[in-house]
Amino acid sequence: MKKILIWLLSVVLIASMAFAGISCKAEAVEEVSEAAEEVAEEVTEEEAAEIEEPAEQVTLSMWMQDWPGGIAFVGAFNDYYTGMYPNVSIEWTLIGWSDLGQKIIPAVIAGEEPDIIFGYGEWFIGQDVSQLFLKLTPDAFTKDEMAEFIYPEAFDKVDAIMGSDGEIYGVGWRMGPDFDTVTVNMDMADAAGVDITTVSSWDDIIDISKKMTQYNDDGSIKVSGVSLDNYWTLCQGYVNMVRQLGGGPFDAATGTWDFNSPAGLEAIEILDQFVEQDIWDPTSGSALDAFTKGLTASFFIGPWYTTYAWGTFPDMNIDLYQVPAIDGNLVNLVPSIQMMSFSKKVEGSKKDAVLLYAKELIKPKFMELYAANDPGIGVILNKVFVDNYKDGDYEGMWADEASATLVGRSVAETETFIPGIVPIPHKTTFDQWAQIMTPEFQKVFIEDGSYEDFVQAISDGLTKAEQEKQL
Amino acid sequence: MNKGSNLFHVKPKSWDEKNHKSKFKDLRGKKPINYYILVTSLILLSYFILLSVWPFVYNLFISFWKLNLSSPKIYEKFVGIAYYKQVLTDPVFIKSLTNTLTYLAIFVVVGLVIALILAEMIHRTYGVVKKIYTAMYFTPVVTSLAATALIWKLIYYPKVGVLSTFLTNVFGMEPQTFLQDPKIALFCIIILDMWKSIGLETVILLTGVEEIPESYYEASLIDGANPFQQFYKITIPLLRPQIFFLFIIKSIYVFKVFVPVYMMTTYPQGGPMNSTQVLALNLYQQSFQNLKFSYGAVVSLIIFVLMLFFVIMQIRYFRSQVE
Repeated sequence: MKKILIWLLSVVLIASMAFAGISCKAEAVEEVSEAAEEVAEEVTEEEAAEIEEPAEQVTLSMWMQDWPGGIAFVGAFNDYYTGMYPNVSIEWTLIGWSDLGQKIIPAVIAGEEPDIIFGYGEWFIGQDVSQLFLKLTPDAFTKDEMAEFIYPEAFDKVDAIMGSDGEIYGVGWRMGPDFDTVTVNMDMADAAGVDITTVSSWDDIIDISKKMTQYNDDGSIKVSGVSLDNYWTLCQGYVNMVRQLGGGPFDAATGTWDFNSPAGLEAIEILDQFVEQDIWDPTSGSALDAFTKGLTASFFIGPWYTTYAWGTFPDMNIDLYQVPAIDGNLVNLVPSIQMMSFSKKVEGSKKDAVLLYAKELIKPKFMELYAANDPGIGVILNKVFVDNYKDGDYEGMWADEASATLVGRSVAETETFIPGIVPIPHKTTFDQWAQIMTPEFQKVFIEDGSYEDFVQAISDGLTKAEQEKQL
Repeated sequence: MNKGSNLFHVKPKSWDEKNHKSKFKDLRGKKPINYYILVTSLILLSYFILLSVWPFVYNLFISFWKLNLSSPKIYEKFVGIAYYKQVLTDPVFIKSLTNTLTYLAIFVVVGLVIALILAEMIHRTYGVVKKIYTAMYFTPVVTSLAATALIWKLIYYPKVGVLSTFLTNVFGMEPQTFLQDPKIALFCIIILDMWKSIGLETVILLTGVEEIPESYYEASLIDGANPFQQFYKITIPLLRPQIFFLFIIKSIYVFKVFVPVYMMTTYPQGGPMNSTQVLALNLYQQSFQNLKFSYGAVVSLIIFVLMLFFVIMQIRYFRSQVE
């Protein structure tokens, strides 16, 4: 009996390996021939073809992040789009952010993705989006047409948007550089006599944070002046700081990270000042919790949180200030991009409907609906919207002054952030950065670990993760 | 009736008839096969193969391949044991392994000892009080682990949480950081898990204790045994089957522990400084956050091997004790 079972298991194992090998070979052959056909078609097309409005009833499926702000503005845009094209209806499924991020690629591999996919660019780092999603250029619009509406820095050589073939596979409208702004409890700032509009350097940030810190009788921190405990944000912020200090931590040719430089050491030293000068207690827990509990006066997360906090904690008096580039060196990596991608399975009328959706997505109308429903935008990628805003076209558009201020701040942030975008062609994801860098940050902050050990450990960890892709 | 009698006049089987290897010849005179049971068995077997055997086999398969999810050729390259080398030399994996073994030692051993003591104490109560105690200890078992973990996360809130404030005001201790302290964060999570599961263990052991005949204790009293000796020499040996069962299921649970760690630690989970990183969390992060399915396949196979090893060792130990 035992022998029979062992024999049976061996047969199943060999059969499964053979089956998997054969089926993927067949798929590969099929895909290669399809790709070859597409390339042949591309060569002959230089301009975006006119897309026909679907003549028959079409229903598009959509996966959308389950968050009130997004539901509001994407819902408004879907209504606008279906108003323009009455034959098209959109059925969406609301999914939590974390689940959505983990579902998309497996769904695409299984051929079960929806027609329209809401997502974030960092979920596709290290992937070739030309293999995952529907090509938008030149069928929906050409790259030149896209550049008329969207800042080229937001799609050119951006892995989540541009595939390995140089074509466009998604549309982004917003970037969320969370380390770029600091959200502040203004009641605490006012009580400390701090003017956040005067911040122009990291020394200023340390200074005003120190003033906002409150202490117990025994000298321990009662309320942190600022919290760094959002390590997803902190990791990206640190990399930006190193580059702004003149460091070049990533060698694309070898896939090597090296923070063993004066810039790498100086950046961690700056961050450690918040601990060394008793401004932040690194054992005080998550900044998101601490801020709403009044245990920290400010923390490094930008505009999207401000809108969220207003809605969730309407009694809090909140404002935000921009983190200045070190020595005015505007160098930023590509942070999280909020975007839509589309299924490559769509055909016929559905494909036309999807291409029309993408075409409308790059126009300023989408951004207007976004700003009207969720003013805490961040970096705006639609330059026509930004220009229109600066021309005063949107005066009186917002219901309240606070919303108008947030949009104004977003426009200002856009103008300082976009010119500094210099993508790093890394294949490691921000999740991997957080998993590798966070324990090392904590060794420095909690256990007073050395800066040299920190830069060495993160260099080794990130390099190993980067080179795993080259296995 | 003695062994040699033949009350029902059944023709005794010859040696050949008793030991005949061919099952088909034995069907003569037997009841026909119950096809309904056969079909049901086949369905259940197919279900088992589909949901247990096939995923295991496929897991083993992809652990030897580099996958490229954005390529039509998903199985990009055969890499042999490269992922096994990566996993076994990854300091985070090693940390997760040591944390899991620590979790195993404390959760299983300490948890069982506490459950044994509680079962014995509850056994010595009577009537409504006994029922109240049983219900009291069993209530956490029926709560949702995710919800409980969130509540305990609030209880453990650093410095200003309920527990820290209590310890500071009542015992004069310094404000504690619990889940933010890399030295004690894992133990804080283990305490929650023990609190949640101890009721079930207590009830199982209590059932066992109540089945032990009172005559054993009466006899031991005559021999001059004190309550501790009765507990150690009568109760524990006779509870071996229940202890053995609980050892097995608790060990299996520990290798899969994920929810309390994920819910109680902040992003990226497993901190601070990987002090609460466990095998199942490592598997989740590598497979579903980093999309490194091959790496995750190796971790899952290692979990399987460890689980199998522990279970087999325990079965052998307890079997030798019973014999």
